[in-house]
Amino acid sequence: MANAQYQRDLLNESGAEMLAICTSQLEKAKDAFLNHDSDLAEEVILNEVRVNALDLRIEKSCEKFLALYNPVAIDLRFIMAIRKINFDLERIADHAYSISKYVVEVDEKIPPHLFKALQFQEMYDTIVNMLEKITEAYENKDVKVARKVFKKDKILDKINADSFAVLETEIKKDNNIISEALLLFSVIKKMERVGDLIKNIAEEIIFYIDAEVVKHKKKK
Amino acid sequence: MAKEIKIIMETVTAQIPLDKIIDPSLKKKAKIEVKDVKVWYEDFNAIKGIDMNIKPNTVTAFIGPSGCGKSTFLRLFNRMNDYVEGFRMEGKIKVNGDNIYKKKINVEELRKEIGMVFQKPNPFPKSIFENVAYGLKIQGITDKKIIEERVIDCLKQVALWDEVKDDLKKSAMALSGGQQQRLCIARTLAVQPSIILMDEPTSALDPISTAKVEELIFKLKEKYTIVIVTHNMQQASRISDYTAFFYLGELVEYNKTKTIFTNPEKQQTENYITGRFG
Repeated sequence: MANAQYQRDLLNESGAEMLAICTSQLEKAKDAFLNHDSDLAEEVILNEVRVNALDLRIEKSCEKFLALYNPVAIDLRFIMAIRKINFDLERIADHAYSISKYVVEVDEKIPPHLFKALQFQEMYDTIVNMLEKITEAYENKDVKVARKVFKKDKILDKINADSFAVLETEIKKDNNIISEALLLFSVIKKMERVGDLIKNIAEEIIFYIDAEVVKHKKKK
Repeated sequence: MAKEIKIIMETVTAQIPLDKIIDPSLKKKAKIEVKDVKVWYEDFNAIKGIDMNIKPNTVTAFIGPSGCGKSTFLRLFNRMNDYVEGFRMEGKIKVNGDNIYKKKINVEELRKEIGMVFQKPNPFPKSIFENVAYGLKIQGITDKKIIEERVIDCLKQVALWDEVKDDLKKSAMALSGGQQQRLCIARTLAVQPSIILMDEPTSALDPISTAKVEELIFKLKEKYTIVIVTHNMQQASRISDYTAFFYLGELVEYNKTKTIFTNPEKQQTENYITGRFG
């Protein structure tokens, strides 16, 4: 079974690599969007190919592990979890890609006061913090750290829920910002979705380590 | 091998009154209760105090590394260890409430109730028909119709009928390994046991024959209580309802198979089933 352990370790490393790439993609997309930096946005778009290649590699490795090593117990949970985590990370990278596309394709800088009114920086900082938490939880197999993500997601939900009213007020003040406001609204929605995906990853880490299904349950 | 033949002969030759030859589905569902059982071979303590309840009409798999005591434990249920020199046992094993180690027990009658299938197929050097009919004839059943009906029924139960119906007079030794093993199971069923013990019944078979025997085991639990020793983890997870993990003569964990193979309680069990030791 030494070979199985070796294959599992490789897969674990690929999972960590995917986590690192997707975190970096999202952070770069944030900077590109905040600063309207189309060069950085182009970099994110180009890097999407790497994310997709790694996604396929992990999928193939999972299939191979399932077929050849008949995993059970913690090994089975690991494979089940890594497949879902991989899927969620790929979706997160897709959101980073879409945000970067806005930067490249839409030639409009978002007025800074809109970012402030929507607590955009706080939303992004929360996401970065959540990504740090799941990276730590994944690397150290620490469910306590994974659970911390659930509380953070509520901050994102609140900002997202408030965003409609905030933008409505801002548009009423100045109706020349409609297109920028709509663009920002769309990014806020994507960010909220990223928060949900990170929450899913935390749930998978808990399932993998503790065999506890926390999906669809009220989180403390 | 000689001991195995002796056990089989004793099983099939156990005398039963004709009025007791009834449909196995009408028989009492068999449960096994084990209370603080300890076994020694001379000074070696092979089983160190095991409690276990086996439910009727279930398949229970015994797993564990070689020498952990799982086969010794299985063989207690039809008193096969009685033949081993230096064998000594403490504790109680009850089948349907009766202590099978009490002095007055009729061991031959017990073995008729608790059939055994061994690792290697061991048909008698007789025809296919005679192999299944042997036990019935020895029990004094002379009615050809009853014997024929029982043989056909048992061969059908083990899904061998379609393969051998035109060759019933052919020697059983000419059958393939998988067919021989299914014939041995049919021979066990012919004397209408309520419990079937299987000691690595597919370890000598190819994957196709293994699949057929596994399918058979799954089907047989409707009528019988089955206990199987296996070294094949996937087999245990595929066919059993409950799994018991033994290590160094102790029962480490006994639980629903789904629990054992998805989230075992004990670290030792997880280490064994994931191949990290053993």
